[in-house]
Amino acid sequence: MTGWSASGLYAQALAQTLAAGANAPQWNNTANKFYLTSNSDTPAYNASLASSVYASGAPEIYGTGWAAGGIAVSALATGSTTLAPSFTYATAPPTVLQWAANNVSVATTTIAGAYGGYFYSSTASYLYKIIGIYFGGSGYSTTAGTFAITWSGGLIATITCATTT
Amino acid sequence: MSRSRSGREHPESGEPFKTTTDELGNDVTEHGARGAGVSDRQDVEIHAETVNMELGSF
Repeated sequence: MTGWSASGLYAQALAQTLAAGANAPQWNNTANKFYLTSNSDTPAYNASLASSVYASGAPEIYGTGWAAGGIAVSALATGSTTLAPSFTYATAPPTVLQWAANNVSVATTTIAGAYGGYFYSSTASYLYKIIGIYFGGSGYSTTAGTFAITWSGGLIATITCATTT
Repeated sequence: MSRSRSGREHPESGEPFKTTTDELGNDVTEHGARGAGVSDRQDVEIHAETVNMELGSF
């Protein structure tokens, strides 16, 4: 099956983070970027670490107001402000680590056919993809308009750490 | 099933608009003509589900 079908965390890039490995992707680094792809892209969340990286060219989607390589987290929210990603915790059972952020809102964009996008680390030569965000199965386009992503409950991702406190 | 709503003045563009929420829950807003001018502005708002992951065995 080709194309987007789900959101997901890149397992080996996550392991690199948890292990504080070389050039480990830092989830809350506002120099990280978010880029878009078409449905010619098939996310592989089980990819090797070497393959869990941003690569320029097709199937990336970009256009007016949305640069190739994506937009820095520091400028993804309304008015080119930061998403301010952060970790919060829900301590009532279950114990859940929450990755929270402001919503994406980039004005005056013209892009065509975005099926999903990725946050990726900005560390030069180690552009690890952290997470893929699936848009649900359609290609979305803007014309001189705002491209926005609203996170359910303000959360990009959650990690259930334990069923207890 | 998709559903649409419209208004005479969008808060950002000030133009008549129609917002369609598709079957995936995402919104596409088309900004329409006002006076002699015609806008072709189109906005998109994706409503992303939170990615949930569990560590360990429960």
